[in-house]
Amino acid sequence: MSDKPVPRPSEDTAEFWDTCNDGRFLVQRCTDCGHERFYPAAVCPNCWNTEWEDIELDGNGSIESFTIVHRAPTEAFEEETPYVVALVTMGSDMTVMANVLAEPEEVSVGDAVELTWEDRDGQQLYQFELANR
Amino acid sequence: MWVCDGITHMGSTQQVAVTGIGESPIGSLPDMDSINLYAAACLEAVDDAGLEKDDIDGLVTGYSLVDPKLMHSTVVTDYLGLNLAYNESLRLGGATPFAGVCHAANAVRQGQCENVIVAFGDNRQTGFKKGDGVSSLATEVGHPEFENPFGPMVPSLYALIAQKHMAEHGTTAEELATVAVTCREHAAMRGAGQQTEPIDVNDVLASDMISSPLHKLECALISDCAGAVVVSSSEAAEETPSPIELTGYGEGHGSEYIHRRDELLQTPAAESGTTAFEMADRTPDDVDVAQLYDCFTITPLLLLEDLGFCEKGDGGQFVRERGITTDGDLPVNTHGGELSYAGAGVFHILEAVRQIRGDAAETQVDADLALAHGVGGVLSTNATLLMEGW
Ligand SMILES: [Zn+2]
Repeated sequence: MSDKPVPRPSEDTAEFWDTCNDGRFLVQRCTDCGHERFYPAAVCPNCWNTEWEDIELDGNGSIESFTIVHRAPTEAFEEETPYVVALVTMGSDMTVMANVLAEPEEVSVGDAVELTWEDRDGQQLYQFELANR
Repeated sequence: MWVCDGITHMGSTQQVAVTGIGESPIGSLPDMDSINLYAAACLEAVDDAGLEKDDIDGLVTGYSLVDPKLMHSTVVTDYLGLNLAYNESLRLGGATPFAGVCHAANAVRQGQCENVIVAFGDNRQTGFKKGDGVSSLATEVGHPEFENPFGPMVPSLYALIAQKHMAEHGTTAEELATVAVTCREHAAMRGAGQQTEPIDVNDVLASDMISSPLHKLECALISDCAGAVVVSSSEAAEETPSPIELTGYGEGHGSEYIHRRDELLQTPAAESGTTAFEMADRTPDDVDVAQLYDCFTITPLLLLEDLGFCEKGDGGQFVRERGITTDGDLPVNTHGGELSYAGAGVFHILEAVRQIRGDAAETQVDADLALAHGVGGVLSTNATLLMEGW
């Protein structure tokens, strides 16, 4: 049992977290303007259309930026330090924050990463690892 | 000014003044709660303006993380026994007092009120020790579902910006550290505020790494403190001893969460700055001194770029080559900022007033135009203020 926060799904996000449990990473594509968005929401932030289709990402991304956390925000993360928090670009320029599960000194901006999963109290949480390693 | 049916409308052209500034004691003040700090700053600001309690007909306050109130400004109104025509509790993170001055100026120009106190503070140094404050701050800033499960510290969110700035523009750790060194130099010159012991770049880089590339000495102080200013109408200002003019102001607001930025290195400071400069009919070249929100060392670098003092990506180079000390091209944070004076942005506004008044003591520069800029969230909310002589 981890004390790390487990995502608490909302109306908007319940389906996303459910499909994570099947090992799939879904994002929404606006049926009007084509804008792809993450996180899940009932309104397109680009054009305010309220209809969308779900598309599944292939799990490949690249590191837009990262930081090595030495001082944990809460007790639950203390034993993990130092760990990597990254912004990863996926799909058509969406940005996702997650950990890169690698030795911090191996990580650089621009690195290719691929999706992996962490079981957090029964919820599959998307994470990344360095690709081709 | 325009005339309609024989009535002269001053409207948006009325001059607006900052007539008074005040601050509470600063540091670890276990005997003062958040409202005590607000009250101390408000009383001093009104006294500084040469006004009386009954002259105050407007109030804008921020909030308290340590001691939250549903209607914060109304609680302060109650505590100080005020009767108001304008009353606003504002919650825009570090941009709160800066945006508060914008709102107060608008209310004054609308004729809704004559003298508005804008105040901001909290007892975080004492309060965070007692409870779970730092944790609650940490979990309030990031997205609860899509950021916080991954354990970013608040500094991590700014560190992500700093890291990209370094990768994309070649910004160095030394350039970032120079921001902290300069703030400390100014606080040391003035001998006021929380941290006045001079430091050098090596000290900054040798301090504990919090979230790379940001070290402990690159993170704002956490303080018990409050600051306040009085924003007054042109007519009211004439009766006060040392008004300065708020010649321009503007706001720019974007996404709350860092993973939602279209451009990680681009901030809405560009919009708030443009609005303020257009209102004042000034350009960045005209600015003599800038008080730039400095929650972390990366913040002033981005603000130098987005407010138009240099090209995007050149913030580090600006600090290194042109200089932000009192003898540099653009003196920045002449009071010491949040990195050295006190952990609240409201003091940037007070310092801009002091520079225009000629009251900035050892760090006084030759200042006809002073800029103060505040940031809330992760460079999410922005407000820019421009001040000149009355
Ligand atoms: Zn759309």
